Amino acid sequence: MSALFQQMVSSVSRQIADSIKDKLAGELREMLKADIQEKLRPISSELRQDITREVAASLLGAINGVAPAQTVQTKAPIVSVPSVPSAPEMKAPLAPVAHRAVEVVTPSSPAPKAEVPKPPANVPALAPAPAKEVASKPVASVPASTKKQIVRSAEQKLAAVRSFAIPKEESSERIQEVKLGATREEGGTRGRTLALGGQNCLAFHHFEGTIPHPPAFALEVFDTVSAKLSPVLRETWGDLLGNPVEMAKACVEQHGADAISIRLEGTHPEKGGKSPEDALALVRGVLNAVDVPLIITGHSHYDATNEVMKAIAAGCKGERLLLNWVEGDNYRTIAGAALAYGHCLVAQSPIDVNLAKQLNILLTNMDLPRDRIVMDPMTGALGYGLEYTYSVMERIRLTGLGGDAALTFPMIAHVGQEAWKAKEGHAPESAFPQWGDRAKRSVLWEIQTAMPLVLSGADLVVLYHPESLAALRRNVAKLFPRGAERMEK
Amino acid sequence: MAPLSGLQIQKLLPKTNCKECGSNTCLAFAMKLAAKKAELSACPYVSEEAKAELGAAAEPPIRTVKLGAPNGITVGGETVMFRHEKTFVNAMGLGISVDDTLTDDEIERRVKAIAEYRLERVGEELRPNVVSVARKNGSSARFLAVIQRVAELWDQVVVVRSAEVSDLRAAAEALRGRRPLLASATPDTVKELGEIAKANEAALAVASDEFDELAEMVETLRSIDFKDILLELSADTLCEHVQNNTIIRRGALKSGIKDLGYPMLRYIDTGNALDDAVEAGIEIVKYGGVAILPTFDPSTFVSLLALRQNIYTDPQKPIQVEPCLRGCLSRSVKA
Repeated sequence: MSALFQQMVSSVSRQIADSIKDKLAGELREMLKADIQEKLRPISSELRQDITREVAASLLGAINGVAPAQTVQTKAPIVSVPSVPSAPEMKAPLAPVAHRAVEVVTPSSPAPKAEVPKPPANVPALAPAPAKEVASKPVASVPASTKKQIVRSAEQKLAAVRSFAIPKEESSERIQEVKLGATREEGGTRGRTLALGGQNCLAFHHFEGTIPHPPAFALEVFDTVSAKLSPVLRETWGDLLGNPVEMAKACVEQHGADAISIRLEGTHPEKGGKSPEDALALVRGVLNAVDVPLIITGHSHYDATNEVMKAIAAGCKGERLLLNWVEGDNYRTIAGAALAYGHCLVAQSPIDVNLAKQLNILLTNMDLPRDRIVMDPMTGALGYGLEYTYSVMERIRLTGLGGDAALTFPMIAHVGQEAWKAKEGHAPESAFPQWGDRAKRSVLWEIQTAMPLVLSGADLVVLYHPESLAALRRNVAKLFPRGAERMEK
Repeated sequence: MAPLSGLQIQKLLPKTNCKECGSNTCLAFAMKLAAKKAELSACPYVSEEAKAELGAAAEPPIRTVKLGAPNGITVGGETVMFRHEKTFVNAMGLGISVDDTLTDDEIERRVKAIAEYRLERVGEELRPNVVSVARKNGSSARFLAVIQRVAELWDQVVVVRSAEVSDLRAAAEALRGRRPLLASATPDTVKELGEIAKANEAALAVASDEFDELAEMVETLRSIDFKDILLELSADTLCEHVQNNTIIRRGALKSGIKDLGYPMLRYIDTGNALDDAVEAGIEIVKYGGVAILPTFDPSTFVSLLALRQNIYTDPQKPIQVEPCLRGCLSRSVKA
């Protein structure tokens, strides 16, 4: 008996409790509803002034189609937001809700792929678009036609792609950052330094990596002007050719070179046999005339070039020059000098990934720090072996980024030297009418040698003609999302 | 789907060695299919079951599209991201654009200049391949007359470019047998233009500034079994163009995204001739299918044609020049 009674009592009390709960919940719901309506009213009247009813309606479409789940989660879980408008002004109060809801979707999160159902057909396909329009300025036009007017960054566009996943390949390695030139505080005299490398992706693959430094462009000056130099270059540089110090100044001040290469061909015993002291004097002269880092370019006579590099390395201690170059058969002397006097080094190898790697290992085994090595896989000009250099650079870069740290060094390309040797840089139009105007064609020969190599991985390109430098600089800037920001001070 | 081996494919073929596909044996054809160098449709006797089974496996990841007839080019059909992995196969089409606002004499001058241009390099004769005719503001009749004049002067690929479906229909009919490229379909016109291109054996470019829209158009065309498609994805910046080209090539080859497996079309016009040349060079190196410049200048084309030759040289077999004096080339061609 008592057991039955107890059961009845407990069930009645449960009923009472439930009804109280329901009532309380109902009251709470009403309170919240009223509260929200109260808060929405001023916003809605504000908005009514500049948002037309059509816009509100289309935004309502957007929120119903796109974001109810997110809206409910972010705000009040008890109240379902779309049920708010029981008030007389049916459409207007919705606008702010819609506005906020769309904003929830807006942040440039790359998420909106699978979860987001397709918005109704009359609404612009991409959720961020209408929100941006509303937020930035009062809407004047109907949003249906706004799609083409909105300028979005490449990044935003890719984030919005829904029909497939953007195939990204992220790299575990970064290219070694190498800084050329040293300021006074760092023990040198340069006004600016030049950083190379630091990226973790292929050239201009901004969608899957970061590229801290755009490719750099240097111009070259000569201690001895070759008799075979192209007439186009002779005409362009005029008397400056015979005055490397003044020419270096023009290269930097007028043409914006990031670095100057001094080619010391004249120290070759068969091409003038200038002494190491002459070479050092010239380098000092250029150091005084310009404030950019210098590349010291030797030649293929090992004994002579070793003596010259030793003298310059010692005489310009701490300047962080780029000593160009060492190769597998001749590296100890110059690498020793670079190590002793604080300079960087170009490791040249004959268009071969394995030999390049081997030389890098030999140099690092000599305790040359990694941040002093730049690789030169040797340059072939357009039409004269460019494809070999192109592919070897691409392979070096891919292998490096793929995890082989012995190949993760920045690369240099001696484009000017090679491109201006080509017949296309010399022959007059009368001899080859199919080749067109000589001045234009020869500059293009240099540009079309340089750009493919930049695309395959060159970080520093040495050029001969100022117009090539200007055109390459302009186009490389276009290959960066916000234009290349050159030269960290 | 895992790619089938040559032997697996051979089991599905008729095994009659009829040679009508162009290969000597069915096994040789099967090997080509496995290497994605041939298409199943080349076999006239293949059974329906084999078609179903091979299906996507038999389709190369990037469609090979033939443009221009009887003289023309093949674009697409690439199988690698980097030329050292194997080789790039079908060199990018390169050409110029004329439009109906030019005088007849000017059109004739420009088209003749490009039509007569020949460049000999390393034993190969190189030439531009494409003339695009755009309708700017003349009448439809004038546009059609310009197209017909260009087609008389120019034996290679003709691209006809207009926003009007009726223009493209008339041009496709007038150029029947020449395999022109119709440019460009938009979401509104894609279905109709697909039917027109299919009926007249033309290729069709689809244009958008969005991957999604492009993919939808490709789907529409595939649904009517039309596949001679070029993708024209416009972008605001050069940076975006280069990224998009990479994404399209990689998506098609590595991720097997069917909607991206077509060659690309790009109109270049920066307003600066030097920059146009640079951008065309970038298209050659980074995955372009057809690139069209505003004007013809031999100094630009000599460098672009040389670059194209370099990049498309097969790294597995270096260029070999016949060891003989100048002039023997023409003799050996005759022989």
